[in-house]
Amino acid sequence: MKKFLMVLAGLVALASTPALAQLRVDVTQGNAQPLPIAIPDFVGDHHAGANIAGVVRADLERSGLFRPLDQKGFAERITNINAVPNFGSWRSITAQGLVTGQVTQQPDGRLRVDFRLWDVYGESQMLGLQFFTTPENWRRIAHMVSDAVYERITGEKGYFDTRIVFISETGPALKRVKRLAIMDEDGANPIFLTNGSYMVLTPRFNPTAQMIAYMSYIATKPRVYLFDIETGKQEVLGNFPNMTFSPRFSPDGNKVALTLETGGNSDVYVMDLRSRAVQRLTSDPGIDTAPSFSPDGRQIAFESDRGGSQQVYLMNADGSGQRRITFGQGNNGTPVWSPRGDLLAFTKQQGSQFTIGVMRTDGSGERLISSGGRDEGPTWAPNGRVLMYSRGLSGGGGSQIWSVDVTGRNQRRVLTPGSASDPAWSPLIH
Amino acid sequence: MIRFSTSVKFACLSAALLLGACTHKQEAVTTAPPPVAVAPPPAPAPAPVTSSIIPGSAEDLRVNVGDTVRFALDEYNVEESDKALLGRQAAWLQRYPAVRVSIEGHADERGTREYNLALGARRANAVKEYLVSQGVSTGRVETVSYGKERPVCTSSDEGCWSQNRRGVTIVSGGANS
Amino acid sequence: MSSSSPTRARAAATATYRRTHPTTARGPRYGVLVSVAFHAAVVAAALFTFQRNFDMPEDSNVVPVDLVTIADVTNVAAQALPAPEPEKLDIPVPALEAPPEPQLQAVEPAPVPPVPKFDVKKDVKPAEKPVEPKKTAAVNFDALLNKLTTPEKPVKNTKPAERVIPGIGSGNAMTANIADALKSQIYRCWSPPTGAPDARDLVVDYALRLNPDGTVGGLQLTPGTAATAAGNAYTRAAAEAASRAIYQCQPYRLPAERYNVWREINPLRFDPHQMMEQ
Repeated sequence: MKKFLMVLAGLVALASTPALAQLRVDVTQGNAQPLPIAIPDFVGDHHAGANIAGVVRADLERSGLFRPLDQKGFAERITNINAVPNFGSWRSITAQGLVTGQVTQQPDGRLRVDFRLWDVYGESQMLGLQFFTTPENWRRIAHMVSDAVYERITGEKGYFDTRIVFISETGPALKRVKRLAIMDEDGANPIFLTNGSYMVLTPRFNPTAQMIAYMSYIATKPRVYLFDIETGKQEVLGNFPNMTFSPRFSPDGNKVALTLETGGNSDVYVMDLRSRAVQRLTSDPGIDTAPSFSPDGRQIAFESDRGGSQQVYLMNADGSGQRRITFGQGNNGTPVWSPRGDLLAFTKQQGSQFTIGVMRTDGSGERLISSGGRDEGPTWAPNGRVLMYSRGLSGGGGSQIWSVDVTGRNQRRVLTPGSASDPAWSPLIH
Repeated sequence: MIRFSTSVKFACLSAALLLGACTHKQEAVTTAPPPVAVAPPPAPAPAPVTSSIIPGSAEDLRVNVGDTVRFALDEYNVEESDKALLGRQAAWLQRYPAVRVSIEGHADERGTREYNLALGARRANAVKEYLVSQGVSTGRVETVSYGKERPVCTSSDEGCWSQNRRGVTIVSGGANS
Repeated sequence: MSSSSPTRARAAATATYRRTHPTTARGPRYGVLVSVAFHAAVVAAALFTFQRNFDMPEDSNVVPVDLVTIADVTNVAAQALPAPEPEKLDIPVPALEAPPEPQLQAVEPAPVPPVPKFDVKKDVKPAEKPVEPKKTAAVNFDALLNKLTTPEKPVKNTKPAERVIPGIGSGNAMTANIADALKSQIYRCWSPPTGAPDARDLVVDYALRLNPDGTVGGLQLTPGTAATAAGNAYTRAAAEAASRAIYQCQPYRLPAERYNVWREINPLRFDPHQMMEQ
């Protein structure tokens, strides 16, 4: 400090010397706002260009981190994406980012989509990419553009080119029909994977988004099944004597952790999908269920009521080192490890209130991030930044899927065809 | 887009079919207590209540013996007050030795999906163990948990919750009909 | 580079790109960053396989996609406004041992600024909307300073910036107030990225040179931050967010007679730790 004061003294004396006239400033407070970004309709093929830009705008807006500006206010009309935009005109409408794109039909019938992301204040191109695809895949291309823009601006991977597998719920409250369904992350292209003649629950993607593990009542005993999305084939997982439920894949996709009930007691097991070998991981008389692997595959979070109430525990992947990590109020269950590894999402229950929370993987730093009162079953976006979960409505009013930023901001409903629950987020598809 | 609308049509169609189906069933349920027989094959002729139920049938168990026991919150031990009912179930099962049953375990809405599946399994198993303790052979009794997925009511109050925390004995085979 | 057949069910995407340094404003500074982006894109492209074939009854989701990284704009020179020279600040890099560890000691109460007098206008708006800079710079500056010293209405969504300048004691109140004034003008525009798992990745240092009219004369990441940003996408994003804030909020309204104090700010540090803990 002394030294510095001397420098300061020098500063006063030699104020004209640039080397010494340095002010130090520490900005520690900001104004968290979505980034204003201009995304004019892509040029070229007018129809596809408007469609793609529309999906990109919707994707980025949904993230809560961007604020796509209304096209009506645009002063410059982009006609050639290879020319440098007039940055001043975009600054004048407060745009900080600008996405220009072009869609052209190739002689072979494919679409070619070029786009550039511009730093309006820095007056430079931040990104330029080109895609080729068949015309019917325009939505995927749009999601990939969104992912690229999101990643370039935020520094983390996007999650728009992903799918959600979920349980579609139809019919009256006392006779709900629950079907396995899948849709794009933005709710487009919903497809039913089962026909509703039997109930299905708790679907989970494998790491390649090609396989879904889920619980089905298709036979007398409810069990965990695997659904191969490519072939549409379903198979029961393993030859267990009783109910199996709550499956979840290991990060390498080679194992499934699940719960087996025997004589009324539920314990966590893990099955190797190649050898079909089964290993029992827990063996106490409490309810042990809802296993979730850490991203490195070395640990498993699960819930147990062995201590008298439902709480989150950790163990090594071989079942050793079981220890409780939640000690706070209420019950805590359904731990789900963030793909980033830094957090566990979970469901907190206090009385009849259910809330989604996140905490560090040692159980500290708990934050509740949802406000529905009947929120449960979190699932992470592949970038570990956003979560989806089920929100129950009162009086048998069905269920909805909601999403929220890991910070607790930007809670919003995910549009589904009808009632929906048990979302599971796929990894990035591309 | 085409895909979407097709799916929606599918959804609507299925929903419509299901609604239809369910409406039927609900009618059947609501008319159950009164004299009219509700067994799937319509009763041959109007008759007094008791005689319309075939002894040893699923209906017999449900109406004349009783099929449902209740549990306290987050508990799965058979309540003293339900032991008489389960005793009747055991006796009935001994009278009709060909009958096999499945015990459904259910939970109220106050639990996560997975936890309630496990809790339902505990309850179903508790009922099974009681029946077995009363002389019913293990092989005749199966269990299945529905967690909180098959409620009998949907309001969020203790009256409804207590109805949903239940074990239900369902005839799964070998019954007279 | 190669290109795969789009007719294959699992079309591997390939990437080709040409590196040409953009000749736009701050091209060279972004060179490393852009390179990182392109390499990331190439890796992504290499992994760009579509393994899903949604053979659902009503649909097929085979997605043959080729991804190509397109070159930077090549006709910039022809079309661009006269490209400003890539800026080079002649601000010397601070010696590594020079700055003491930044410490957020609260200086309470704030030193009384030796600002002569304030012509307080009653309808001074909170600093949410950027005040039109040019016309009444002096008046606004007064109002601003006044606002800094009379903590009445905190600006929505924010805490008042702390009145601390690490490394500079409270002995120089004028300097402290200039720093405060600058901070209070920048923070409105700064929307820090708060998503990183490690908040340390988000701390970035700039060397900023200001023109006498308060506009940005030169802006450069300090070598330390530049090195981190080259290998850390979070840091790069944080650096860019800070850069946007600096440019967006210019010109800065600072007392002209003290230009020698604020002509160079180094480091201008952006540190969202506190915001992330809220």
